[in-house]
Amino acid sequence: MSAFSNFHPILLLVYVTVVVVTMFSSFHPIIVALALIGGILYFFILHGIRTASKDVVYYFFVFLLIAVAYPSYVHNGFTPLFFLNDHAVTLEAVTKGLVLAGAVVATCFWTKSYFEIFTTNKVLAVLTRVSANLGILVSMLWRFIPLFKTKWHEKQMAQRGIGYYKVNSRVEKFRRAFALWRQTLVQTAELVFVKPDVMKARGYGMTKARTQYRVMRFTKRDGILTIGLVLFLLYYIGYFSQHQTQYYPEISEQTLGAGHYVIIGLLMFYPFIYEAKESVKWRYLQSKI
Amino acid sequence: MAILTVENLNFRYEEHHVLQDVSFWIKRGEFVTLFGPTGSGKSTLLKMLKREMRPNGKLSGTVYFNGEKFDELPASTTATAIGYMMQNPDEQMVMEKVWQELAFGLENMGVSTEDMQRKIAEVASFFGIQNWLHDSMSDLSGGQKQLVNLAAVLAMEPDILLLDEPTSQLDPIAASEFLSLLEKINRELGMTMLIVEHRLEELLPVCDRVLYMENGSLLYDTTPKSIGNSLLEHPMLDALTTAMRVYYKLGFRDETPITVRDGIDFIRHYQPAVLPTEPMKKKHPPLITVKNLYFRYNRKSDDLLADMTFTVHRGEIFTIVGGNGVGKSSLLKVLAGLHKPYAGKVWFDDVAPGKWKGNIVLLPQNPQALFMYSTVKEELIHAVPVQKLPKEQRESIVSSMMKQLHIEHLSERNPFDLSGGEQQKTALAKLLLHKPDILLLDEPTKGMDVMSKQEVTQLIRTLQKQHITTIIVTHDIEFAAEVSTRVGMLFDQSLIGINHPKTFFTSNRFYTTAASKIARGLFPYAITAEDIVTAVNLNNRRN
Repeated sequence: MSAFSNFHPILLLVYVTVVVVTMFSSFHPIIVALALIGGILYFFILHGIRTASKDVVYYFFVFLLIAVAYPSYVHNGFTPLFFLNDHAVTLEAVTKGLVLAGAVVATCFWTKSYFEIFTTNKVLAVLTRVSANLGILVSMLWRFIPLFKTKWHEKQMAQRGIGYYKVNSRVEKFRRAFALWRQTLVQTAELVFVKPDVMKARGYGMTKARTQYRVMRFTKRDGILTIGLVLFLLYYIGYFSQHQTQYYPEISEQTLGAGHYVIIGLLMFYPFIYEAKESVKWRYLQSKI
Repeated sequence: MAILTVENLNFRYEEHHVLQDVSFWIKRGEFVTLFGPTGSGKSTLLKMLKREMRPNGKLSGTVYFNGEKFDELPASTTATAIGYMMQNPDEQMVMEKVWQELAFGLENMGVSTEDMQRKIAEVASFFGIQNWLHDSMSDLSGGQKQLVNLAAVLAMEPDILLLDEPTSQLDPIAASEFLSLLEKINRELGMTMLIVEHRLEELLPVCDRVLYMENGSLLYDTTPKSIGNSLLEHPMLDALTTAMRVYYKLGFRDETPITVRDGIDFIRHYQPAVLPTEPMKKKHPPLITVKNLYFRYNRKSDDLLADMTFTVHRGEIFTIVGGNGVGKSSLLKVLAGLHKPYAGKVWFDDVAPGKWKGNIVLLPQNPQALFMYSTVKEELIHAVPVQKLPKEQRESIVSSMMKQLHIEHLSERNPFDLSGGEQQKTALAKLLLHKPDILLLDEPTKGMDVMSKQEVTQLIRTLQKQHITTIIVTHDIEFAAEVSTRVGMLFDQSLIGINHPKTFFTSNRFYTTAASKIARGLFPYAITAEDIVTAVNLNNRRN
């Protein structure tokens, strides 16, 4: 399990929002590159080199596709590089295409990593904060899919066992499969959602002050980091709303000071750095044993 | 002091009197079994004692809980002090993960997080389920689900536990584990329990009192030792333990043995006798030939069945017994053509399954999987071979089938709301409408009371006379001993010890019927209570 994922779920959500919003609000080549590399590095940490490499290769082609497609459809910009079907392919569009492709792929990697670390427990912890009933509803919903799969498989077997599908017409076969599917859906939904008696029998709705078994504590550290992140976000949104990188008609050189790049880089690489630090610490502990 | 007192309880649903003048009381710490034929109102009575579960209908009479009127108790008391468990674990479950399920009731009660953690830690350790705490409920087996449900109910620390056939969806091994756990909870924690059950072989030795219901009335309220005296002329006598049945059928009264051990003590006073084994009937030609069959689920898994060879003859009732997960159900699915063996062949009448003209049907382990409609009648009318017929013919075929299986009274009921045994019978009716040559039955007696079991036994025998071949997979060895013409045990990838049931069960020491255990050494080949009675009488005649 990743050490970074042990942060409070709310902090995790704020973090990824800051990363994505900073990236898109600046649309700056260097910042997008930092977000992309940070995302890929963390993805490697989560999945190991072998598995992650496959995805990286796949997303490299996605990157190429966007990077090539964009300038061949968008022909704005001053500096033509060459002509394609009588249309100018401009330096500006090529650059923007690369940045856009980078931003899309970076978003993909962050999303994939978050699907991995944002487990049902975390979703529930966040939702339950909003409303306890919402938390329960989502938890019930989570039961639905595996139960449906089991029931569907079981019913298919059972019906095949009595020759339910032994008909010649394909249309009829399909109609029967559909009828079975619909019936399974209704039955599973009934099992999962229609249980006011059962829930009441176990005291549901009895008291307004419903308590929680698992409370993910929002520690001081979580609080400080969250405030830090929010301030960071406010500052840079403010900055980039004035100075967003322009690509048309000409690329506007947005040069931030090197210090800014370092700070933003630290932010984008934070999960990776944190994991690396933890694993070094762990190795150090182990070697002492 | 009585924890629960029921006075003149009547319940009417539409024009149907479900409960009539029921009165009884339960002392704190008592373990009470409620039994009776299917449809006698047992489950309804139990629901009346859990206010949140009461169905709609007209109710009169009074229930006192801890001396207070039931209807005046606050909702918090009825929800927590009375624990209730249902038949179907999936219906009882609410949440996704095991720990959520355990916490659900406590969270509802508003228990503080620290107390909750302690309570859940306690109950999880008591039940030995701490290792699955983070598993999804859907990944658990039926027995494990019921265990979690029980733990979740007990975590709320109820004063009394009401259990409505909690083992009817479980295989007999999981069921008997579950029941012995209940006994432990009663003995070690002094938990008061009222349980509705068919499985009396395990319950009667441990419970304090027995309530017997029939047609909505509570007929007997007595101890396990004396319930038999009231049921002497009643078919439900066969629901009692084997030792008790032998005792009463030999004409004794009063001091009945209950367990196998008591039964051995009791039977020891008789002279040994050997039951005559039935002469081998002339065999029909082989119908199913299985030759060097190998099966596994996927390339990487281990063989479930390996080098299996056996034949089943036309008109046989061939039973396969064996433990959990040895591949009994998979074997049936292979025979039904639902799974393909990766080596070896199954032949029907000496031709490959594709060319065979006969009809083979399979009753799945969960009969609910066959149901698609909202009434039993519709369910049967829509059976594939029937639905194309003209209307009148359809009706008559379906109603004669319902009559044959004694389910006419259920015709307008929803198949999903029936009891376990009624569902099995409905599913069987649906199968028989296919006019099968071969009937494959996977656990046909699951959740059935003794009368339904006898009906099914009779039915299978009737089908045998019509040369229908039946292959049964079951954990229920009493049923196997009763119904089969041959029995085999599936163990370690192959079928072993295939033999006549009398020989099979007599030569087994552990995996055998209670009757055979009692009769061991004294009456060889006696494998049912009736056999023992016959053997005893045989002896008397000789003297």
